Amino acid sequence: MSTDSKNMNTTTENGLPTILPDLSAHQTEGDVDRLRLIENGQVIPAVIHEDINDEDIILEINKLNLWYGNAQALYDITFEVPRGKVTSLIGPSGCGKSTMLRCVNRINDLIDSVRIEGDMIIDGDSIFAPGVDVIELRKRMGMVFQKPNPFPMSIYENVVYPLRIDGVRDRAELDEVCERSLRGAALWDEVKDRLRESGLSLSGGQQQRLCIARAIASDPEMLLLDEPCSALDPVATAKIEELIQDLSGDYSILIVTHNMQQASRLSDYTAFMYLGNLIEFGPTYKIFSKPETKETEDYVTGRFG
Amino acid sequence: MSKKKRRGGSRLSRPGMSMMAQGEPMVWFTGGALAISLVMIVGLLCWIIYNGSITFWPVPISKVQLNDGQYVMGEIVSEEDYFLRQNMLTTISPADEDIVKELLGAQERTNVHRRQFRTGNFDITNEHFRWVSAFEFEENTEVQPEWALTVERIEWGRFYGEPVRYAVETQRDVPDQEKLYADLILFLQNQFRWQISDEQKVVINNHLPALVETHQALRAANIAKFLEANTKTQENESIEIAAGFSTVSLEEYQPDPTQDVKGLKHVWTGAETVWQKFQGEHDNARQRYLDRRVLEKHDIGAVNHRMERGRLNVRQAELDFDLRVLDDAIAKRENLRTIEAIELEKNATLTTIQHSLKIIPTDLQRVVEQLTGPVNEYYAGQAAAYESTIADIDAKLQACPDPVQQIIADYLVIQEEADKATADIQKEIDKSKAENHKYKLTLATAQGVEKELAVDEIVRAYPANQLTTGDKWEIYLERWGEFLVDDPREANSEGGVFPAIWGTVTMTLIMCLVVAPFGVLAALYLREYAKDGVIVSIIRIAINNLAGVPSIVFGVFGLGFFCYIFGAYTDGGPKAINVTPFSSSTWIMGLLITLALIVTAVLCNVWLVKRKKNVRVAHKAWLYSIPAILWCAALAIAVVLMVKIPFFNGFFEASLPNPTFGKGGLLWASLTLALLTLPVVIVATEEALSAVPNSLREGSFATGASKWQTIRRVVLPHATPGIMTGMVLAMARGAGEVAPLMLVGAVKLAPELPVDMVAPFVHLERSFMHLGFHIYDLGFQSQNSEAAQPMVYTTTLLLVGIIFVLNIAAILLRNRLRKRFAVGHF
Repeated sequence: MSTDSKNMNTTTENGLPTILPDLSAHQTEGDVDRLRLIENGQVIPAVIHEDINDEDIILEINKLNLWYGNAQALYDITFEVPRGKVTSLIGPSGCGKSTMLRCVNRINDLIDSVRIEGDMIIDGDSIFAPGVDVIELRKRMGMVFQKPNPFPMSIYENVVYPLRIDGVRDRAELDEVCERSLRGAALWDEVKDRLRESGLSLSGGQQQRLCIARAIASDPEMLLLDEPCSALDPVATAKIEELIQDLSGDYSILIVTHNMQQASRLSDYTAFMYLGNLIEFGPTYKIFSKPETKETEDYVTGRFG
Repeated sequence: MSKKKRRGGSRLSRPGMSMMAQGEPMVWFTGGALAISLVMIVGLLCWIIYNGSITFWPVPISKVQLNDGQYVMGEIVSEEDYFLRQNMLTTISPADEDIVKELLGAQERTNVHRRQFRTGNFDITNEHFRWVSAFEFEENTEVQPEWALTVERIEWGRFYGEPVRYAVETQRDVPDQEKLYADLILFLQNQFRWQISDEQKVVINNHLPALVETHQALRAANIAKFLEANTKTQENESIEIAAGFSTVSLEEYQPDPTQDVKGLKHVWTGAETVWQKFQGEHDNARQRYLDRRVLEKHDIGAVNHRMERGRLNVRQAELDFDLRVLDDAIAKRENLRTIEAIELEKNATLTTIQHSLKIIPTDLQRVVEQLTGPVNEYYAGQAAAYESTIADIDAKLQACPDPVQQIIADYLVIQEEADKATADIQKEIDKSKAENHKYKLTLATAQGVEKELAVDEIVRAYPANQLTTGDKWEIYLERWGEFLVDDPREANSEGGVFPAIWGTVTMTLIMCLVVAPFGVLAALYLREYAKDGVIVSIIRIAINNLAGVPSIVFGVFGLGFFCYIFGAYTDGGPKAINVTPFSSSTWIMGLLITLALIVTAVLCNVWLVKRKKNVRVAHKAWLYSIPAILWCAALAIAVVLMVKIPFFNGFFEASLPNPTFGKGGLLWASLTLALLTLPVVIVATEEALSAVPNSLREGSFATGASKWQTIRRVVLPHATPGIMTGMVLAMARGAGEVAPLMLVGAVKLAPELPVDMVAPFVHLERSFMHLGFHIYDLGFQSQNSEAAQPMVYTTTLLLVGIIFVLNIAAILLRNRLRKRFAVGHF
């Protein structure tokens, strides 16, 4: 079994070496089978590593429960996202990591049947309190989606879109923001001569970087990335990853990814989720090398999921 | 093992199977279906294009002499073979009987060739076309007369004939002196009309011969002077003099003092001279005619329009102040004025006669004075009576309230100005008519019947058998030009179709203006805002069904609702649609209830929006039906209130019972067609909207855009090409639709364009002409549908062309948009 997983995880799809957990340590044979319990509908308290207590916190998630109609999708999620770091959410499909991410800027509100209990606090402001202006809230964070989604307008207009909807008309300001954002997204050199062309004329990787430029145009506090590389080829992926690392000091980044190698390469903290429950949250190197729960270990070594 | 192998082999070698397996026959089958469809469409288009474009090509004129001695001359428009049967012998003219008998022999039937001549000359022969069978004339005797002219006239259709004469009339101007004598003599000769004493009669009879003699001498001198001035002739030119009641040539003319000469005619003969003379004057005469038409139609129309507006003001004042007789009184006043003017004119004649007193002996003078005096007095008395009646009416009008008096005064001024303007314009028209009346072209038909045509009544004439290819092209293009920019004539079968083009395009554009916002907004609501559910599904199904309703049903609806209810309401308020209005208090109460409902509904909505923003409470769909019900109730009450409003008497009450909007018109036709094409636009827009990826919407929301900002800046631009496709389809359907238009405003002949230079420029209430209806009218409603048939093709070609152009324009626009939003490839 261990040999199998070792062989499987020696290299990722793009051939980069990966960190292998030390399997001999942290074997928790006598532990309860959390996965079975979760599948039976029990709520298991998550294992949170203590390292987070030393961090400056930007987002506090507090006993978050979410229902789509009658089906509950998130169970008592509680953890904290550090400022200026990359935090990744991993877990098998349907574990609620995208839902989790989409709660942060309340884009889930677009679905009628959503109901939420618990709260998130961003920089001291509640996200789900009744009086919160969703639109103002969304302006405080940028989001990048799975598939690049440039708008049907020029590259320039794509980038300054968040300012346009705020009614900014000052040409100089728009130009400045456009250049700054495109530089921030490492796209400026490639498109500076064709800002008037349609955003759809770019390649896939460029489109995704354009979306990142758009996301950082309004200078947000957080960046939410929902599997930003899953529709891209390896070269484009590498570029985006590099960009994420460059951005990580200036922005607090919350990223959902399917690709564990990516999570281990990119992020400072990692949260592992399963069926709407948070299993473990801690510094990435710990999650990948010596996780405290067997389930995390099984998942990161590829035994399931 | 071997068994298996054989089975495999038999599978491969089954005859015919491989072809079926590869699906080859289906390729032929589907390809064949496509080919047949294409052949049908292309065939139809070619048929229309061919027939539509040959209509205006000038065709030579042929002439044959039939066996019975008759001539047939005209353009050959079609030919065919038919079976001549024994039983047809009875219907054949006696001259052909022998030939036909010989032809038939003992056979029951025989094949005969025949050709159709367009013979024109409907005013003489009562037919436009004539079939001539091969046996009706001797072979090879057909000729193409060199000077046969094709003449297009304003009335009576084509004329085919050879030029015989061209005449220019000159009237002799009667000098005042001569006229004075003539009037006096006429007055004295008509003495029996007046009560006259014997003594007076004697005096008159004593002096009359001398007066007549003086008059005749004077006249003879004037005539001699006139003839001398006007009787220079050139080659091929002769002069005819209208002497007395007959016309004689200059050579035969014998001066006769008892005969008056009213004028003379310069006459040219010889085909070529006549043709040249005609051509020399034709353009001028035509120009004068067209100028006159402008005067008659535009200038007089403007005067009438102004008068009508003044009259409507008066009528409105009458309604506003509840004065029953105002309109009648003013009409009576107007009549009296007219009668007075006629009396005054008679009086004027008598005055001239009194002027003649200087030239006659004193005793006759006395008699004339005695005779004219009482008559003069009578006329003066009449005029005074009219004046006093008018003064009475004026006094009555003076009693009206002040604002009404102002309106009446304005109207009287307008009336006076209009009368003067009309008289001036009429004078100009008469002058132009008199000028054009001088020029006459006489043509002889093949039969030798001569027909005099006024030059200005000829639209176009050309010697059909002498044309070079260049001339033919010139005539062809000129006819197309006329077709595109002129008004129709001859019950639409000739002339142009400009009003129909104008009407079609205007109506289609207004339809687009109406249907685009409604369709797009409705689709936006359905796709972007409405929650999918039973009601939305029902609405979608209803919209799709609406697309399948026969268009005439829309026409009936348009007539019944738009014209007879909505239009009548606009014209005359609730009373016009037989609704008893509420009392004022009830109505105001209703208004307050509506306002209360609206306020409650708004508050409800606000509360619900707040509640929805709070994701901590469960979503309850039924809550949303509360404001919906409130809104519906408010709307229903508002509609009832609008229908039963007591304070509204219509915008065009004054012109009732003549409907303004309460009949078919441009606006109602456009609205009906908008309704008809609405499903097309909604379905196309919905499809375009659903093709916008959700990721774009989410991306926009994630940047903090509101729903409307997202729709306006991201969704709509992305969906525009699809929406444009829907508009193209709607436009094509709307422009080609005829059936509903017959009910809601398309007419055979519209005197005025729906959009013109008269304020307010767009006259939505006017009836209009439409190319589709024009085609129907030409083909089936024309009294001369055979002659109109080529025009049917041409008009069809034009309609297809216009729809084609509109579509191409929309498609080009769409492609430009599509290029802008083109998805890149990576």
